[in-house]
Amino acid sequence: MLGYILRRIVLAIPVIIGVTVIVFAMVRFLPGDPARVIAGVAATEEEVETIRRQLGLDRPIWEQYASFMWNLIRLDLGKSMFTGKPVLPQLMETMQNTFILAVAAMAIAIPVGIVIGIISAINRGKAIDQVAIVASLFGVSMPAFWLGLMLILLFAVTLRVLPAGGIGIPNWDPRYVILPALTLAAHLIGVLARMTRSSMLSVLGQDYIRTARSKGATEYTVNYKHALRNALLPVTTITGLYFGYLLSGTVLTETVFAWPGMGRLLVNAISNRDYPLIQGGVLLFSLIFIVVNLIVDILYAYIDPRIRYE
Amino acid sequence: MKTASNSSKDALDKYWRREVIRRLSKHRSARLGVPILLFFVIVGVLAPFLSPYDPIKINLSEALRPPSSDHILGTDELGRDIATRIMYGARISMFIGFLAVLIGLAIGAPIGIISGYYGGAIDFALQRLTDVLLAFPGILLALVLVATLGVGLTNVIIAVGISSVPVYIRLARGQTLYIRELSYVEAVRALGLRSPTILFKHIFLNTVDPLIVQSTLQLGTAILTAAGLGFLGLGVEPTIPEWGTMLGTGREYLMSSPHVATFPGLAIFLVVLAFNLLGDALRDALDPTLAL
Repeated sequence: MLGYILRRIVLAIPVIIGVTVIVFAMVRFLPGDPARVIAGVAATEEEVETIRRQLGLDRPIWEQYASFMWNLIRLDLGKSMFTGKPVLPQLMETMQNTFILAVAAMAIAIPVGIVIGIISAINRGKAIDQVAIVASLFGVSMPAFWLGLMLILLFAVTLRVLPAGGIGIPNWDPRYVILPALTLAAHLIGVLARMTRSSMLSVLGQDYIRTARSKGATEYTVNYKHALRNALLPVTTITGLYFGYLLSGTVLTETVFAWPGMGRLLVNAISNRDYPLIQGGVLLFSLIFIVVNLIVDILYAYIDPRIRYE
Repeated sequence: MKTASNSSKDALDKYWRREVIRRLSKHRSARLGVPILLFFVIVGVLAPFLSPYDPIKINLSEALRPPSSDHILGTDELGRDIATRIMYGARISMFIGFLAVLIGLAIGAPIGIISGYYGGAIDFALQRLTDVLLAFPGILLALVLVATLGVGLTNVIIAVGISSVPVYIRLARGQTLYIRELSYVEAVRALGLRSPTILFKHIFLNTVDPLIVQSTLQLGTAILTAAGLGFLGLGVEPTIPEWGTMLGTGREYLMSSPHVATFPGLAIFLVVLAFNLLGDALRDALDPTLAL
């Protein structure tokens, strides 16, 4: 097990380095003169030069990368070009809001998605199965930004029962998280329902289930004691791996609901061409993704020992 | 001898193709998805004939009209007919979707097949590269590319296309790994066929089915990603009637004129749903082990 964990961590290192290379290259590959692009069309020649020197764009490329990495190791992500404030504290501040949203979405999606999948599988071919199949496909196909707006229209504008946006700080109010969390959860609900259904159906077709039936186990015992446990194994992995996608989904959902998280910060940074902030945000998103995947892999190997010897 | 076996193979292929079409025409998902797609293709193609309005010309005196008999889906903040813009938008979204999927397929599939077929150091290096791309989940890779390349139709297509590359690499590689071990590939290798021939004739042609299924689903994803970029204001040029961009501007008028955001979003949802339905149906229809 320890060997497996070490191997996974070692394999993650080149990926992390690759991610830093891409994030580093982003600014250097801006079309034309990067310093000019960052400074904007209205900037004077001196301003462009200042930015060039600030970002070290006048130095050889390997030297730029070396200092970029050295700053990263010291957790110095530079300063926002827009506000002049250091990037890292801004990211940290918004990160917790993003986590709250992502965790709330997971808390909705996991039980709902799995229950829909189970009901669907057990009633295979019946009307309720058809409804569940269509509903989960709706979830998968729904543009989150549109679903969010429609939820705002219904619950905030028409019914006036929930707030249309914001986070409800300083008096932390849970009503603010409901609509964004639902919006973010819709896609995962669809994915989980479809996964659970097909996984459950393939397990129900196996020999040991027939054995359980033939020895007189009740339908309930077969479905929940024998089938469900094994059917949920692949679903667990997908759920874990999905966390990263959920995080990237916050980019859209947070923008819809003016939720002060990392996703919205990143979008604003892109609109403002605030490159240090863009780089920091992208880097943090993918680092979280890599770490979460690593943890899921390790947990999965712990649950299912066959994985370790792959 | 050779011609005989070829013609029987042709007959078999023909039979199988007909069988796939028969299976599709009976499949419930296809029966729902195909008409929706046809509808959007037809209104997209025939837009100039179906609508008396211009999709781009501004007419401020008609701004933000709710749906009426003149404008069945109402007008936007610049007085343009929303139904017309959705029709022209069908062209844009399909165009972006198809080109983006083509880019992903053209780059991803060959890399995946080479990676899976040769294995060893090549595979290891290409897979770490894929891991790096996959470390930018969902819309993030497209955002990174747009932040670098800038906005606009071409860049959106490139960004969405490249963000689907790792999906194709993984799929083609997995399929190749599986086919490579099948006895017929071993047989042609023993016959002394050269690697490029094996790669194309015996491996690539057998990855086509899963690639078709994935591409159909990927069309939905690509349209969704492009619309997401548009919604964020990081999509095509603002004059182009793109659904996501329309939705993004409509959001500003959500309280007073909800129709501006509602209908373009509905169009995105329906097209993505249709591609997902068709993809599901194709997966079942192309699976010879499934009795339909």
